[in-house]
Amino acid sequence: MSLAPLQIYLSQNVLLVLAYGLLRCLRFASARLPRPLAYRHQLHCANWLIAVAVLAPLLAPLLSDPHLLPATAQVWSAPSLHALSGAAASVPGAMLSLTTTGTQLRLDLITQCALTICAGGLAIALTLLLIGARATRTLLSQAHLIRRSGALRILASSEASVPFSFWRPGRFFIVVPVSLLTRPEDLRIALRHEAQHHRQGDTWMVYFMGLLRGAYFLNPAVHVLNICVQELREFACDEAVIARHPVTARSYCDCLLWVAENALVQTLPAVCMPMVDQRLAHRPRSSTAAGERPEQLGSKPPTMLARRVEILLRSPQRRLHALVAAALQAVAMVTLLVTGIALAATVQDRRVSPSEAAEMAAAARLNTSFPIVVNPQVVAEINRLVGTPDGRADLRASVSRMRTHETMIREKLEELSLPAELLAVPLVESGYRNRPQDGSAGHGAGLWMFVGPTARAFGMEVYPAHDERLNPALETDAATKLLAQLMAEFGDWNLALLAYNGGSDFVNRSIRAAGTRDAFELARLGYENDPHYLARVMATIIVMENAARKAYY
Amino acid sequence: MVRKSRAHPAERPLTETELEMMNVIWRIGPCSVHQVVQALRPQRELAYTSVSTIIRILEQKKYVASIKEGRGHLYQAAVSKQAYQATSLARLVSNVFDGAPTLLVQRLLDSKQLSAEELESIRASMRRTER
Repeated sequence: MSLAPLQIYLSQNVLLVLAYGLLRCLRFASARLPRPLAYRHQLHCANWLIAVAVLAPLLAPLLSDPHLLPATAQVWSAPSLHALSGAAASVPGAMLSLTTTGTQLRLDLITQCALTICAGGLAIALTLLLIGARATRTLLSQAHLIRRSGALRILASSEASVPFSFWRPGRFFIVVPVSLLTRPEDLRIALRHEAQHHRQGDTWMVYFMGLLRGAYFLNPAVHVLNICVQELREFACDEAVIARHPVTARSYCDCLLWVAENALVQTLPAVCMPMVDQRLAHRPRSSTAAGERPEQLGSKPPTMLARRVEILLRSPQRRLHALVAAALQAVAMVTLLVTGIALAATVQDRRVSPSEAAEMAAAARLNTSFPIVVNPQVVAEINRLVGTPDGRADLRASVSRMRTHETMIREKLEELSLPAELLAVPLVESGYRNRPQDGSAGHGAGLWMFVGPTARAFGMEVYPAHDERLNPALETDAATKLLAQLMAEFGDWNLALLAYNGGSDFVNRSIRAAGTRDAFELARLGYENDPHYLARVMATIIVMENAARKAYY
Repeated sequence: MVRKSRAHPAERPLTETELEMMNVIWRIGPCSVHQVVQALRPQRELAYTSVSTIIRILEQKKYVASIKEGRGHLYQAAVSKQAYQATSLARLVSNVFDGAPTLLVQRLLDSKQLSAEELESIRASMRRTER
């Protein structure tokens, strides 16, 4: 299963948390500016931040530039590079490393769980929205049409006790309670307030937020963002009505309080946008702690309704210029977007497909005459090197150590006209660690991991107190000569590599027994001293030849 | 969008504002919107359009019926005040007094000082009902 859905879902969750953080920072800063941000700008910012948080992870995979994706940022892992037997059987499955050493979970299982949670939440949210829309439709069917203007319908309802607005595709509704008809001033204010909700797009955003809350219901940031946006909608609406119409703050507040009294007896479906939402009106506002100062309202935090009245009655403030507000919003959105792109690399499947491996091999062949071979064994080894975090870490460390000896080895290879690709041999043999002889006499030592008898055959002294294999120059000298001899003997670099690992007698016997001189066929049939040795060297050569093309490790 | 309501009048009780209009219509009989507006003054200064809307809602709820009269309409009560009192009382008994009318009467006797004439009138009504 592709990891893209999991990557997108996780990134969206992280970005929603960040969006909430950015919004709170913006509001916190705004509350302390001599000219604060207008509430409509804060609302625009909130809506855009939510949109970017949801869309950025969807767009990130479209960015093909690999340099944008940090190679070291992946958190998923596959079976360890050192667990040779497990990984040898097949291309490693994607795993999520919870720690660098310990527990691992199958990523495809996590992907399935995440998708089930997302789809389940969406289905429940959609059902609730449809139930809400149906209940509102029943309410509308019992209401009386007062006026129609284009797609707008204004209705009076005996059943509604608070004015509210409602949107369905192609239609905008404003519903006022019958009792409001006897209060002409309040009726005008309520109609302007609800029309402003339509103008701001709040009435259709309700559906979007409903679905968002369903899809990410496990993420607390979505719920607090929703509350924050609900508050901003009302503040922006109040602000716009006062600014656009000849309505005094006092009469507006009277209207709000009258509506609030009636709101106590009715809970409207979530798809409706009531002038005063009783679910919010009496809830203490959490944002006062972080952003805006609780004022003269006793020790209890002010309720949403109290805050609205307080803002309305506050002496008019000059607001931040629209261009400055737009610049602040742009900064917030760019921060979110860049984070979204960076997050694209946190969870991703770095395994190389056979077709990509073939492309890598083709690119490698352009730079060398070395016989580059790509087959399923090589693909598996490429994935063990670059498809796992510890594989990549190991490769990075080995290449870093290689830099110390690279010039010397290259010179010696050139002296004997050997291909530079043979730099991969010590990388596979020792990871460019100058290893001393361990307890087993059959094991090698040094960068090239020469065993004792071979080293002596090339004139090196091998004693516990004095081991010339640990002299990189001497050992490299011997190794290049050995490789040149093997190439002269077998006439094929792949057979020469098999012989370097297992000895020329072993390879000759293998050729006779298997009846083939195809080194990879011999390896496939098991005629190898170290399992997958040849495929590993080939994989290392292919990856190193492509290192400049893409950050594989 | 606005569909004819299929609900029976008794199922959709009047709101306070609607009851205010109905009381005017019950009091003055068949009347135009203008007459209702005039009857509400000077205590209530309501716009013609507001009263017209409320009366049309009452018509939709089948409490009021309209009769074409020249260029306008006359509105008359489709539900008598007595019938509305009866259904309201039934609703009150059902919702507040657990469906037991005796509780309602008991509460009425407890909470309001009735004169001897009023008590005699109630007794007479009960005798008529028993027959």
